[in-house]
Amino acid sequence: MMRIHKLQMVIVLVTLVIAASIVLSPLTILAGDFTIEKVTSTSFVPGQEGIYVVSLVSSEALDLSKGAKLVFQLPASFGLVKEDILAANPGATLANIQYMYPGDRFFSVITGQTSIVKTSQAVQLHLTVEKGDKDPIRPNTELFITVPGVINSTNSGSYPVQVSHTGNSGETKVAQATIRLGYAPAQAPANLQVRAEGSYQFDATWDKVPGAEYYQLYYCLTPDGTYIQACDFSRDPAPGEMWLLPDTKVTYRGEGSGGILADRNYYFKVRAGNEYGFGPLSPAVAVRTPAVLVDGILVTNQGTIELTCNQAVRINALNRIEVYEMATGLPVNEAAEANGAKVVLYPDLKPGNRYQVVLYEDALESTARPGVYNAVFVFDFTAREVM
Amino acid sequence: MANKGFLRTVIILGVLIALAVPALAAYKAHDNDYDTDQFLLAYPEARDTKLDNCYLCHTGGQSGKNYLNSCDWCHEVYGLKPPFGDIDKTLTSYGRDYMEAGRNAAACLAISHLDSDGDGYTNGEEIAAIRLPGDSNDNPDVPEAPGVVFTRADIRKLPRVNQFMVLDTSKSGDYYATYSGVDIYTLLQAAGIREDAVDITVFAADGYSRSFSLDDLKKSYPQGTYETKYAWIHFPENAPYVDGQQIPGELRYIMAYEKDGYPLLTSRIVADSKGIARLDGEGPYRFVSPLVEPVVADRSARSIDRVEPPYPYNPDRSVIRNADYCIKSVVAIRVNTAENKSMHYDWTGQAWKMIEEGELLIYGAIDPQ
Repeated sequence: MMRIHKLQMVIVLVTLVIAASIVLSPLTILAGDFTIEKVTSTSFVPGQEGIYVVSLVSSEALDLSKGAKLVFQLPASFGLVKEDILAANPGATLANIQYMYPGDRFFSVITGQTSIVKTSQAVQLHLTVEKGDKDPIRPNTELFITVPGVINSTNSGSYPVQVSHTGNSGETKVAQATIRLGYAPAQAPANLQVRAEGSYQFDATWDKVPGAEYYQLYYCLTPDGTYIQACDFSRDPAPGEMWLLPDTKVTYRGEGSGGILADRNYYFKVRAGNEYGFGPLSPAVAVRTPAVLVDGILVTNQGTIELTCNQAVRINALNRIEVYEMATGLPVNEAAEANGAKVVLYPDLKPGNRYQVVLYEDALESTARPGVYNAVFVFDFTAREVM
Repeated sequence: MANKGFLRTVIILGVLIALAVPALAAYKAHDNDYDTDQFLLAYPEARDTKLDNCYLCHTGGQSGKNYLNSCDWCHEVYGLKPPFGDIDKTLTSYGRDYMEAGRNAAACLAISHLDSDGDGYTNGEEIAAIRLPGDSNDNPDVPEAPGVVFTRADIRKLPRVNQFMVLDTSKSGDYYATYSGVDIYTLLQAAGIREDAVDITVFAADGYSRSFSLDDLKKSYPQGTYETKYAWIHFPENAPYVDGQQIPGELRYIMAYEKDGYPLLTSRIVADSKGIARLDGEGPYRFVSPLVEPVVADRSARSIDRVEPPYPYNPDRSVIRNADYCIKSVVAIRVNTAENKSMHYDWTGQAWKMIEEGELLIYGAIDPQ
């Protein structure tokens, strides 16, 4: 009897404790079913601005329909940039949540209204879903919460990160993780060398930096401009995906972001990184892409057009060689042939009319250096009265 | 010697053969073109007609003051990426009947006796007459709309507009260029646009189409600044501006026939290195849209550092990227009234011939002189 009585007491006590915890924190479920898997950032360097991506999993379906709220919280020693959506740096205004179900081609992107709340203890980004998913997010789907514009605390060390979610039912889930701030390699890589391997490819090498785990190559069209990473994807990158080159060399083919142009100056820089971020960029190295150039042009008495190139060529794309009657825009070229460095066009010219020769890019390819093509070449002339 | 006349014949034949291959047929915006393929299984004679297109089953709709054609309406209502909206709101009456009948080739035949749009003709009769079975404005009783064909020479006789401008793209890289051509509204006036016209639909040779309101086409838009410091924006080395300088003048919607002083490369469909069909070239005509606000072109959606400042890629940017609204290889413009967005003019199978010949068709709500 006694033992049963004690057991009853224990059950009552446990029930009371659970009930009390529900009363004290009625709609909060602490971790366990709502977990931060990983936090990445473009910078964990003290004082620098980073784009944070929190990877998060909920074992239960999650409401991310219109009105659901997400709060991303860091200690008060951190900051958050938030500007107008059309500003050069909108910062946390562009915060979003992404996920992808098996079989999907694209990440779903959920956005909403953002606001920053600062207290003596913490700085928070509040995101209230506007463009959400009317269906609950399936259990165990990896969610990526991207928060741009995070200004790291100025001191190295460990710091807590917290994400809380409140669905339209009012239930709140909280997940926590710890990040560490530290220092990136202090030195920029030395001896950056970039060679243009044809009109549309660069090969770059540089020296190792002690303590560096990986590198990133940057390029720009002007020496003092805003450099971007020389990374070929030709696809949308995944949230938080970074380009980390473990080796001290890379080939860049210029796909995905507008491509490389023939006969054009490019400027390159490289930087070294580790788990915390990246060090300074190296001095710029200039390279001009090689191209087939037209050195001379002759309209003969027979009405053919002879182009003299700076190197031996072959015709790569005949449809990209044209002669136009300028008044009407009518294409009149009938044929073309290449012999060594000479290219002969056979247009149907009318005496006295104005014409325009156009070699569109890639019309000609060097035979001595395959992969070297022409940039656009244009030449106007009037056909002779007697031909 | 490579013979260009022979080459042109080969290209035209190649294009015609390619058009017989589903992968290179009318504009395919999506990886999964299951439904158009099912329709063509049921009605192979409809290949390369106006029925071989999304708008057989998908309607357009009004978004604010603008009418969106089927492509844009579907993108707005259903979306480009998940989470998706309600596809049912984008369907024509024929599209709904097709869905309910089982959404396959057999369903197309099973609903041939129905009159989905209630215009007095069965779906089968309308399809045989190359009329849209889900649009009561288009049926075998409706006469062909008036049309005008402009040649290269005709268009060059109209007042020439040169505009140096930025092309702000989502994915493929931004650039500055000088596009030259004719103001769209001037072109429409030359075709005899009627007073009851409210918008136009611009068609590319590959079947892609997009609608624009006349109110927008009549406006001028402020020029932006010339930016050379952002690596994602290509710029000409010889432009007469310095970094950050305000570009003078205003921008208009134009039908361009030249870029940087030379004719646009004649378009054709080619297979890329992965064997996927793509459009090569812009011309002979490209519908060029201005940026409606002078914002700085943002980073590419496909660059690894797309979310980094300055000017990170923002899929929800309120100012549309104008390059996404510039249409290459334009062959026709349909002038629409508020009530009728499907006036009929039979240019079936002519698109690539028009590209080669440099012809541009304007039809619909016009009174040609």
